[in-house]
Amino acid sequence: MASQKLFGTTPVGAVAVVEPPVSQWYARRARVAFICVSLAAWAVTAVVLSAFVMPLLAVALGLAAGLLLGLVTALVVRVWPVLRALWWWSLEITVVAAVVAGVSLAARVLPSWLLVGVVIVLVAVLVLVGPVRRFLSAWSWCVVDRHRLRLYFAGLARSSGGGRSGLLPLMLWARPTPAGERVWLWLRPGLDLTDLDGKAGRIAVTCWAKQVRVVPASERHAALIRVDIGRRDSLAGRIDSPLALLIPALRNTNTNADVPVSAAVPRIGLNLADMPDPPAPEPRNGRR
Amino acid sequence: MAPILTADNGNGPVDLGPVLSIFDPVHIGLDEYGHAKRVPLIYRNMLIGGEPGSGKSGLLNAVVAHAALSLDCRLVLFDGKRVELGQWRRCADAFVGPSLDQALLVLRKLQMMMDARYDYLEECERRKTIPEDVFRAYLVALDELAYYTATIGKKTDRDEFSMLLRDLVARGRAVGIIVIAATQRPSSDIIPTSLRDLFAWRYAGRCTNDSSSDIVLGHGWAQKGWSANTISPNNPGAGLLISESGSPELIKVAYLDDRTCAAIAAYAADLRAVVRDNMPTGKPVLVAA
Ligand SMILES: Nc1ncnc2c1ncn2[C@@H]1O[C@H](COP(=O)(O)OP(=O)(O)O)[C@@H](O)[C@H]1O
Ligand SMILES: [Mg+2]
Repeated sequence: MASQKLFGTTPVGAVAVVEPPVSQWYARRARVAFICVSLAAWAVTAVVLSAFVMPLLAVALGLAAGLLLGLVTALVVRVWPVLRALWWWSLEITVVAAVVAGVSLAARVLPSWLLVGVVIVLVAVLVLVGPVRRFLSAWSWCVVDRHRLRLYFAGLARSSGGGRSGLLPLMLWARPTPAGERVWLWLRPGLDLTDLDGKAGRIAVTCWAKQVRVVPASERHAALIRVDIGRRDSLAGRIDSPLALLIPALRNTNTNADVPVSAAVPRIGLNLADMPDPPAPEPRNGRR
Repeated sequence: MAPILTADNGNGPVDLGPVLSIFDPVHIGLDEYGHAKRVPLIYRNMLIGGEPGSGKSGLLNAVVAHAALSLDCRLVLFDGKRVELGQWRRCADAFVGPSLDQALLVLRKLQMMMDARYDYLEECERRKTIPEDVFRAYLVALDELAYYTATIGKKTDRDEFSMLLRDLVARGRAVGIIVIAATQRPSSDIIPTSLRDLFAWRYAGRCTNDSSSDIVLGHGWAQKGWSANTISPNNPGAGLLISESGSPELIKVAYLDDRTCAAIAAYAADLRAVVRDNMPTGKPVLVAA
């Protein structure tokens, strides 16, 4: 189910269209938009046109223009969930379209055995060459994160009783880091950073990550936040100090020095058996 | 004082290029996202906490190494275990082992020096030390602080130690006295809460529970998801670093193994031995061995 959502081109917005309350809400919005836009456009067009043509003609023309504009606006509002979903998935749609177009274009000019060869080589390069594979997977995770975060915030909006998905944060930009990904969000009214306190674990689960940190990203805007998603422990290995490079004796590291030993101090008393018995402590006065 | 070495070849002094300065930010490791983490230490203090083996002494060594190579900084080292900072003994102005009397003596002298420096600054109508100043910064590094404040000696002496340290931390910043203290769990029986809250930088290595982590970092961070308890015990040197303002950051301290440490210490000690103050020009100069 999740993979269907993720990789299929069926937009998640389809869910919104069949969800009755949301659909009805948009239908109502569309009706309101139609009336408001029609009346406003009618009035403005009529006033402007009356300067050039007869008033009655101006009113009639204005009515026609208002109806047309209102209809277009209402249509956009009505299908807004679908448009929005298409926008969310625009990158995937573009990539799939480009691949399909590329292959079908190549099929016209190349013989089929060559086409198959080229495709196999391309796929092999993408999968087998380490840097390419890591680059692709790092940026793919960024794309995945945006969808998963949207899913999380949609759930948050629904559970807080809103019922409408108009308050989803804007996903601004995402980029990979050595440990995972970093996503910048612009929060919409109704949500702030403290609402996300203690929710990091849930966000991490939603993003299939190990841990998530949500921090403010701007000194000036409370709405701009940064989500750091951690998938790997980039701090597991040992880190060498750059100071070592300043020391001449350490620059050529081929000398395999062993444990430093002291010639001056005799090696006696380093084992428990070498130690003499200490004098027994004197019994204190007044106790027992 | 500007950390510039000059040599005299007969035609006047030749600048030999900069070495490190304590006024530079100190590289202490990498942050969670793989970027180098540098912390400015001048005019600030640092508190290091964490369970045994969490890498406290490692961080202390990384900072002391930078300070040892900075010729505009002098070292005063307190080490209850003697071996953690022992390699820097030759670079240090004073090295205090497990003796409370000696520790008190050094702290009292530091306090007197601090007062004298304030007299001087007052005379010059200045409010803080600057890189070209006539006196050097001092890095006061304390490992196993609890040893001096809660373990050895008489209670009155231990209290005096806490009081003197508190004075250094509170007033030393502006005259270039930087205090870095490491201890396992800085609870109120180890150091007074009023002293603990004066440290600008706080580093929590792995802690056994959330409340220990909060004691180092400040109250409430564990609840916001910043607990040093989540750090793996198999990853010494990883910890949360927090400054006066801003939220904690997960970092990993760059580690100096014994050989590297010894080599840096020997180099720094040699450097310090050949560089003498040249008071008239205000610059350290190289003198022939
Ligand atoms: N930054 C680090 N990177 C890798 N290993 C480290 C690091 N810091 C400490 N260690 C390892 O952990 C051990 C204990 O560290 P130490 O600094 O002595 O802990 P503490 O002073 O907190 O008891 C060291 O001997 C070293 O092997
Ligand atoms: Mg230690």
